[in-house]
Order: sequence, then structure tokens, then C-alpha cells
Amino acid sequence: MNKFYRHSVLSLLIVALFAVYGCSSDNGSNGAASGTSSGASGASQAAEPAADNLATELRFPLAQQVPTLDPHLALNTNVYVTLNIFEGLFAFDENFNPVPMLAESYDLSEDGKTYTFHLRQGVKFHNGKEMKAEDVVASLNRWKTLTGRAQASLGDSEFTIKDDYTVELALAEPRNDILSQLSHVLNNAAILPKEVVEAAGADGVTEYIGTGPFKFVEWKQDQYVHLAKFDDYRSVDAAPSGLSGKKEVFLQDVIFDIVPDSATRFASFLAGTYDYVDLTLDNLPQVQGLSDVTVDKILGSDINLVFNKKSPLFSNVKYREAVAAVLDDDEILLGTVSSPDLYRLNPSYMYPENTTWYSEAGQDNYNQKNPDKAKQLLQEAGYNGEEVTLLTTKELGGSFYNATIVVQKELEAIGVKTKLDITDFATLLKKRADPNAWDIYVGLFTMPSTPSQLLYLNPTYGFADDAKLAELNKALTAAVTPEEIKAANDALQQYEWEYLAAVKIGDTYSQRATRSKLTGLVTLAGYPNLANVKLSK
Amino acid sequence: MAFYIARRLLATIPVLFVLSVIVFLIIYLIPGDPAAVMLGDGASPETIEALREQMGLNLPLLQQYGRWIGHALQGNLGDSLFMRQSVRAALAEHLGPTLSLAVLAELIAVVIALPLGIRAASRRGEAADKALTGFSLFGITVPGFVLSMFTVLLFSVQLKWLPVSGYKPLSAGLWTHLQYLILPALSLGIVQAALLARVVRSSMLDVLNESFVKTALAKGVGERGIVYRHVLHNSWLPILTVVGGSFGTLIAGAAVIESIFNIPGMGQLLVNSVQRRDYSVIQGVVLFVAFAYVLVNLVVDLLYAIVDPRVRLQ
Repeated sequence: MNKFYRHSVLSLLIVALFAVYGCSSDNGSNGAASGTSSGASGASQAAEPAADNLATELRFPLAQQVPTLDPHLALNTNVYVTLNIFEGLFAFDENFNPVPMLAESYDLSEDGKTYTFHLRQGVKFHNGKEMKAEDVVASLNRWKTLTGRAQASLGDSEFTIKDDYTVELALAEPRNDILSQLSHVLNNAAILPKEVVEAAGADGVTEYIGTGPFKFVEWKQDQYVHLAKFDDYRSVDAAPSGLSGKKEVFLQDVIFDIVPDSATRFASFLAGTYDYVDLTLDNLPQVQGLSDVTVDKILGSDINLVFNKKSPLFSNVKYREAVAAVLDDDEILLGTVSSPDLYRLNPSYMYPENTTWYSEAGQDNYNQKNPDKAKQLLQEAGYNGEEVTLLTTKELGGSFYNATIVVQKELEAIGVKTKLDITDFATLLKKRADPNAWDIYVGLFTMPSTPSQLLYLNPTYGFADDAKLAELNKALTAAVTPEEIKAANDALQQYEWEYLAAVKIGDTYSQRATRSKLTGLVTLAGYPNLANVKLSK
Repeated sequence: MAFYIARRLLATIPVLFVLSVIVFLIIYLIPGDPAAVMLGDGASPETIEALREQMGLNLPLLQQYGRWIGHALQGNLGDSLFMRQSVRAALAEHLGPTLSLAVLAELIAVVIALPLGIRAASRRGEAADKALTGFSLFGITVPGFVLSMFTVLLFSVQLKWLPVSGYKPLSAGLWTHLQYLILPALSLGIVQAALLARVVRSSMLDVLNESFVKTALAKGVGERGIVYRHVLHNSWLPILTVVGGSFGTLIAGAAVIESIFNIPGMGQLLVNSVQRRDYSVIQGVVLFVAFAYVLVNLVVDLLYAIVDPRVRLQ
């Protein structure tokens, strides 16, 4: 008995700690493959497993809570799930081009104002009902009322039934972004049964019935969402790309576990509970030594500094110019992602991968690193020590906060008096909608597919209120030929770099680890398409 | 006795009432809008407004409180804004994991602390005593989350004996249930054990210095008899107080440990609800925790009378 106490619990624990340390650091640093991919990315490098050797259940870790599973209300957190249950008329391929999904084809009238969508026949909802025009019209008219960007794009136009398999959209003005709006992953224009749409309250639908390859089984709030293979899924017959094309399901069950703690997610990956995980930089060395793990980086979001155009200072464009002049974007991006490999400079409000809408117009005002010019501009504007409020949050992995404090330091270096307003995310959402609560907000954004969907060019987000901006925005969406589109796009971006609704900082990547037994996983803007995924036992 | 219990329970009503007013005011003073949280960046302002209306958030504050307290008095704590279930159902669902975790953690704490404390007190100044000091220092200074990360690395990642995180109810089988609880309970239990062992030791030492111990020694009672029959019997009161207090804390939900191990208990419910401004759930959890505390204290007081016949409850 005495002996036991002499070798007390304390010494046992010390031994245990050393054991852990010893075990975790004895991995070499060879064997990890790594790759880079752009907007969309596939992780299938290993050999295809044989059918009888496949596992039927995939567990997928989610970093954030799921507030709702209504696809029309879906935020960046629940799109991971909803994209696999629901489908829209169109879906993005890996280059963010809209490709028909539930639509068979579409016609556009010569004046560019009337879209006629021909639906695929025989597509079944998870409740067994066939999808028809009435469902499409009910869903899309609800989607367009709920979604800010759709309202801006469609105005008062409504979707109408032509016959059981034909839907029409008559616009007041020609617009080139309709198909992109219908494909965008956030607030996705998903098709649900008419009855489900009609029964929905302001807090969303109560039944999660779509046409996708997985059907909803159970949602245990804050714990997991369980999906299962939809046996009657009717796939399109086109090569899979991004979220579009053929979807073949090899899994019986998919369980999205909600695991907010990143260390827990990573430990679960190491323990083999998950075969896929997002990585933080400090976790990287631990997986680089594992021969069955692939590490790759995916383009995740772009960082923008948004001005409150109704604030006393920044309603004056001179102040906005001063901020744009001083910013050192490398410093901000490095401060946010901690590694030069995880960011890139990009003067455009769109990604270079998006060949239609990428533009270099106005890039002289990007990444100026010119404190003298900034001081000069402040002086001209009559700056007199007024305090500038930077709104931010330490939630969401801390990226918003990290970017903001570098901006704060750069502003203080030219004599601007600043105040950080750090709140939780719920408070930030509320404050950001209040024109009296803030001056500058630095945030990470999910990249849309067309400039017309950019939040900060919209009056509800940062309060851009400018006749010329609105006019250029309109011209942009009305352009038809590639030449017209390019000219209108260059003009808008050129003007945005003068008006400065926001200042583009750059693009950031995130890293993830995938085990080699998980193949066929494709992500778009970081969101997984679980169709075509194979998991070997 | 029954009268005593009834009086103690009645005395909690004003406490709960005052608490409800304070909590109600505090959560409405914090900015943040549940409707905006649910609908996010892309929602149109009208959509957010419609949801606020449906959630009843556009009523004047006093009216909201009146409505809430009216229902609460009838035992109805309202409905969660996010979870599509009543607050009562949410509490019931999250109480199970927390209760299991608390019982197991407390058990671990007692099993470690009692022998350690007793040994240290009866071998004062010797190796066992010094080991206890070291253990206590370790338990008190190492935060629970650090301890839990180490236990996860050792038992889950390296040895693969236990799952990293998650929860399975008792209905899934006792071993499955325990598997998920052992590591979090260990992380919580060791910290509690460190505190408890010190209390056991000092409480025993107080009694060891009493003159009746000398008398017992003089009349030839063996060491075991003195420690277990005379000294331990007379040391229970402070030990019970500390066990009761720590159990109350554990029932309130170990928010950090529950987050790390992803256990759907009270702590996690509270943290999630605060993050998304689920007002009715925050209210419900705080009131429930306050009530649970009162209840645990009551049980401790009742136990006093059982372990020490000199205590009279009136």
C-alpha cells in the first residue's frame, strides 16, 4: 500500500505526458503529398477501391453550429449539409459556370428579358412525389423574397408555370446573372415540394425534402445531422464537375458531426473517427509525416475592408482613399493566415479563376503601402483626431480579429485614432446593420460568381448609396456579349476602386487533410459534394 | 423534517424570481438579434423583420417579461427560438449527459481523494503526505482543458482505447455510455479530487488533535480503529460540504469540458444559446441551475443530520 503511494499518481502522470510527447514526435517528415487547387478541388489520388470493399458510413466533422437546414435561408455554416440534400435548376461546375441540374435546358428570348426553363422529367423528391413546375415556381418565388441578392437581381418579376415541365421568368430588364444567382451556394435556389414551401414559417421549412442524392434522416440540434442515400435519385448524365454533373452514391449513411472545437476535430481525425479534417497551421506538422494522409490547400475566402458609407468620416471619399492608400496587404494577409503559402494578392473583386468576371481595372489603387499619400489625404479631408471604430469578432477562428488588428496598426501609424469594438458574432451582425455603430469592418467573404452578388456593393451592407455605382451595376448585369460584359465589368471595378465601397485585401486559402481511403471528394468554395465519394474499409 | 424541507424549497421562490429579472434584463441589454443569427448575411431586411415578429421580439420589454413569467409560473418555460422544441424538453434532453458526467466525475474525485486525504492525514509529514501536496498542486494549477487534451492524446489518439469526443446515452448500453464519459469525467474529477483531498486531510487533522483521540490511543485502540471509526466519522461535515459544492458546480454544466468533448450537456446548451441569443433557453438554463444548486445544498444539509446526530434541522 505504501509503495503505491510513494509512486504517486503524480509521477504516473508525468510518465504519461512524456509517453505522449515521445509518441507524437517520432514521425518523420516524409511521405505527405501536397497539392494546390483553386475554387473547386478533388482529393482522389489513391487507387479506386473495389465495390465490396467499401464502407457504408461516412462521418464528416462540421466546425460550426447549424442554425437552420432551410436551403433558402442557408448560411455558410449549413451549406455543407444542404448542398447534399437539395438541388436547384442549375449548379456550378468547378469554374463557377452554371450548368443545368434540375433544368433540362433553357431558352432566352431575343430581348434578353424572358427565360424559359425546361425541367427534367421523372425527377423524384425524397417523399416520392415527382418534381413539377408548381414546385419550382413555389420554391423560387419564396427564395427570391427571402434572399437579398435575388431581390436585387429579379426585382418584382416572378417565376410562372407554363406547363407541368416548363417555367418562365419574365424580367423588366435584361440580366446576365440569372443563372449564376440560381446556382450560388449560399441561400441556394433549391427546389422543394410545393406543400413544404407553403407550410414554411418565417423561421424556415419544417420538412427537409429535396431531390438530391442524400435524403434527410435526423437532425439532433448541436450534435449531428444524419443523411442517407436516396435510392430513387435520378442523376444527370454529364461528367461530374464541381457541384454539377453525374452524382453516384456509394455511401449508405452520412453523419455530419458538429464539433466546434478545432483541437477536438483534429484529435478525432488522428484517432481515425474522421477521414477528412480542416487544418490549422500548428496542426500541419503532425499530419505531414503520415503516409496515408494527403494535405492540400483550397481557396476559401477573400478579405475585404468594408467602409460604413454613412459614418461621419467615411461618408467622405477622401477618408476612404486615405485608408486605401496606407494599407499594406501582404502584412494584413500574413497576419491573418500566418503563412505566405496561404494567401495571394489579388486586385480584383473576383477570383482570377473566374475568367468572365476577373478584372484588373483600377488596380493602381490596390496595395499602395503609401503612408505619406494617406497622411496628405487625411490632411486634405481635415482630419482632426476623430476616433475610428473598427468592428470585429474573435469568433470564427479568429481570422476577422487578426486581420483587423493589423489594419488598426497601419491606421495608427499615420496618426488615425482608432478603437476596436470586439464582440461575439451575434452582436457583430446586429451592429453591422446599424449605421451609427461602426466605421470600418474587415471580413472574410465567400466569393460569389458574379460581381452583382457582392454584398458590399449592395446598399444593405455598408450602406453604399451612389447613383453612378448603381448605374454601373445595372449596366453590368444587362450586358450580353462577352465584349460588352468585359467593358461593363472593367468600368464597374474601375469605379469601385475610386468610390471604395470596400477595399480588396486579397485571397486566402485554408488547408485540409484527407486520408487516402477517402476518394472522390470534391469541394466548391470549401463546401463538399459527397456524391461520388468512396470510402474503403 | 418535512416542514424543514418545505420551508427551504419555498425560500427558493424569491431567489428564482429576482434571478429571472436580472437574467432577463442582462440578456436584453446585450446587443445581438436571434433573427439575424438565424438568417445571416444574405437575408433581406424584411425577412429578418418578419422573423423577429414571429419570435415575439418586437413587443416592449415589460410585456415580453410579463408574458414569460406568466407562463413560467405555470411551469411552462416557453419554446426555444432555434431548436423547435420547448425549453423544458431541451433541458430534460441536456440534463441526462450532464448528470451522468457529474456523477462519474464526482465518483472519481471521491475515490481518489478519500484514501489520499486519509493516508496523508494519518502519515502527516511523510511521503504520502508530500505526494498529496504534489497531487493537489497539480490538480489545482493544471486547467481542465489542458488535462483533457493530454488524456485525449494518450488514451484516444495513441492507445485508441476510448473515443475522442461525443456522447451515447445509457440506452446504448452501459459500457458504450461510459466509454464516452471516462475522459471528460477524469479531467473534471482530478481537479475536484485535488480540492477534496486537501479538505479531507485538513478536516482529519483537526479531529486528530482532539483530546478524545488521545483517550482512544491511551485505552489502546489500534491505528485503523482511530482513523476510520473515530476520526473519519467526525470529519464528514466539511467533506460533505465540499462534495456538495463541487457536485452543484458540475450540474451547472462544465461548459469548457463539455465543449472539448462535445457532450450535449447543460454547459454546451448554455454556451450555444448565448452565442445565438436563444433568450428563452438561456433563461431556462439559468433558472434550472439555480434551482439545482439550492436542491443540492438542501440534500447536503439533510445529510448533515444523518452523518452527525448532533445536528438538528428545524
